[in-house]
Amino acid sequence: MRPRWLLIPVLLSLAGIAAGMAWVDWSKGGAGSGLYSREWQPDPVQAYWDPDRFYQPGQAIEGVYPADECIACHEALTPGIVADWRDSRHSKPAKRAPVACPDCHGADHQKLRMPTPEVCAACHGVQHEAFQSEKHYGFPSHALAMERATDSKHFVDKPKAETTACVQCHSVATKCDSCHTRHRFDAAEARRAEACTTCHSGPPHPDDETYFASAHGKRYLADAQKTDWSKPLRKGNYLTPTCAYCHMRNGQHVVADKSIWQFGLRQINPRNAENTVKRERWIEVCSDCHEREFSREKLAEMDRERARAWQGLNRTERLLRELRGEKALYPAAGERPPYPSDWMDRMFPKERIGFFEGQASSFYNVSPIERDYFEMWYFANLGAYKAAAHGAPELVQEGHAALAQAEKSIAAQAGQLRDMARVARPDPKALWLGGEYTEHNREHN
Amino acid sequence: MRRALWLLLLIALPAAAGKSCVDCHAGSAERSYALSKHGVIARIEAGRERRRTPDCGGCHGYEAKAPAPQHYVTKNSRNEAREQAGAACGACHSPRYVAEQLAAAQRGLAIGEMKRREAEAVVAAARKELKDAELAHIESLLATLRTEHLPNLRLGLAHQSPDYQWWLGQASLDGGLLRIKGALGEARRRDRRQ
Repeated sequence: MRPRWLLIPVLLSLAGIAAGMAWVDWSKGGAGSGLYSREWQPDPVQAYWDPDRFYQPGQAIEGVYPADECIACHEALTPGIVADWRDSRHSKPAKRAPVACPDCHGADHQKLRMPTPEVCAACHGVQHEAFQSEKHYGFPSHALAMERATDSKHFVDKPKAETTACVQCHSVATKCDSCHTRHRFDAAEARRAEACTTCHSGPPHPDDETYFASAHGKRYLADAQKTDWSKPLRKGNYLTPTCAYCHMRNGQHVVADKSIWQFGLRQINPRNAENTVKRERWIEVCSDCHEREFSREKLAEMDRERARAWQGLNRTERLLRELRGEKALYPAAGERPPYPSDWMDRMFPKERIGFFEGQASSFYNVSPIERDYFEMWYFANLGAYKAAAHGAPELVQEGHAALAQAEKSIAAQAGQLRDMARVARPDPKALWLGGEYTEHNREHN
Repeated sequence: MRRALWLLLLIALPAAAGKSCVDCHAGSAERSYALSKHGVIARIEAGRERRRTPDCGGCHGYEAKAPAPQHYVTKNSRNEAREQAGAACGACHSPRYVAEQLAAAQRGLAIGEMKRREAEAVVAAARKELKDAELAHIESLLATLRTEHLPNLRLGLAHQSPDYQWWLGQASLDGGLLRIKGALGEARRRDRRQ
């Protein structure tokens, strides 16, 4: 006889799973998007960065128009985009009728759509499928970029007028014209290194500076204007690699299949089974020009660079955790503004230290020492990582000097905080919980 | 009269010397444009006959070839500049899109100004409480916030560079603001201990 009571936990778990799935579904049904969609409303321009979710067509013009009529009007109204389209392959494909305005936007002027990747997929199915396949690798990847942005705490909690820049870059998941700009949609443009730099630049990901400082990048800058960029990204077609040449092997629309070091954001085991496979993929790419042993050694050099960076980062992170334990952080989590939508933070205030506690959001509403550690981790560390990955040794040195400097300055501050730990803490209200922006943010996210 | 002469020199000399905009506006102004999609396309397609995206003059109205070269954009005529820029956008973008982008930029900048005013209020309190040596650090943080972070945000919004809007703009303003508060907070604690 089977023990019937065993059914109870099984049924309870099943009910729990169903309830959990229903809750996730419910939480995605708000005015925003993603897991916290009920907590925020988009800024109007977000419609242009995530058209599938937010775009509403204008109602000013009535009527259903064929392509030649669209062109006749827009030639006068917006001549730039018509000229771009005329220059594109869409206007004169080899073996079919032109792909014209209504094919992508629809013909009814009051129901026009901003094309999404699904619209492009009607013809460019292979590229779209490859792009979507990135989701298997998780984040970092292009295909999950928008979800990643809108599901992060600082995006949800900041005023939406502040976060339009976030969605501009993260729209790489929701629009194809991040890389193939409208209305030319040229593959050759996306093969160029500059094409990636609008988003892959700046303190946390200086891909542009590090690449252009490398031997590959210097050669690119010297040769770019006299290179024929219409050729596919294959061995023998190019003298020096670009972003897409290495990260999108043979033009495949997948950048996430070789991400061993996970953007430098967290410490990984570079020699586990998955990363061994990814390492072989890198060696395969490099072998278009370099001997396999040479590439293997370069990758091992990167492992060593990462290990060195994480030694300092881990020491500093431990120090911050100690300060948290000693209640020496000032202001502590309970003494500064909580993230507006985080009820857990209000009930159980806790400083976010380390990648797995959501440190990516800890650049505001934190104490100066936490912000300094954020910059050490997100700016100095990622700068060193990108320099090592792209082969810019001087910038690796610069990054590690910045790491060492940050560690030293954080240690000095920690000493002062410990020194003051037992001093009565001034009332945080006026200084930390008040102020024009702080109060605005409390009510507006 | 003297002022008019200076102004004439300021405008005529660079034009006569065949200088480009970035000879004077190097640094953040140039880079925030170069990183924008407009700038990226201009860099990639340099040398092509038809220019797909506007360069500096395309939006700001500086026309070197006109009989009398003019800077339309001065610190006193930002509104005029914005109107001009809006007109330039229309060659490719719909009026609705342009209006939404400009309105969003105004909202973004308003947030940055809030952070600046909050920082200034904290510094005003610090000036009453602290001695010169302690104050110097706070003053330098405020100066950076005003002369770097806020202009970066403005450039990022105007030139549509996400990096300048966010990491070098808003997120840097956040850092400046919390460090100013931190410095005053620490000074107050030191004061209590004595």
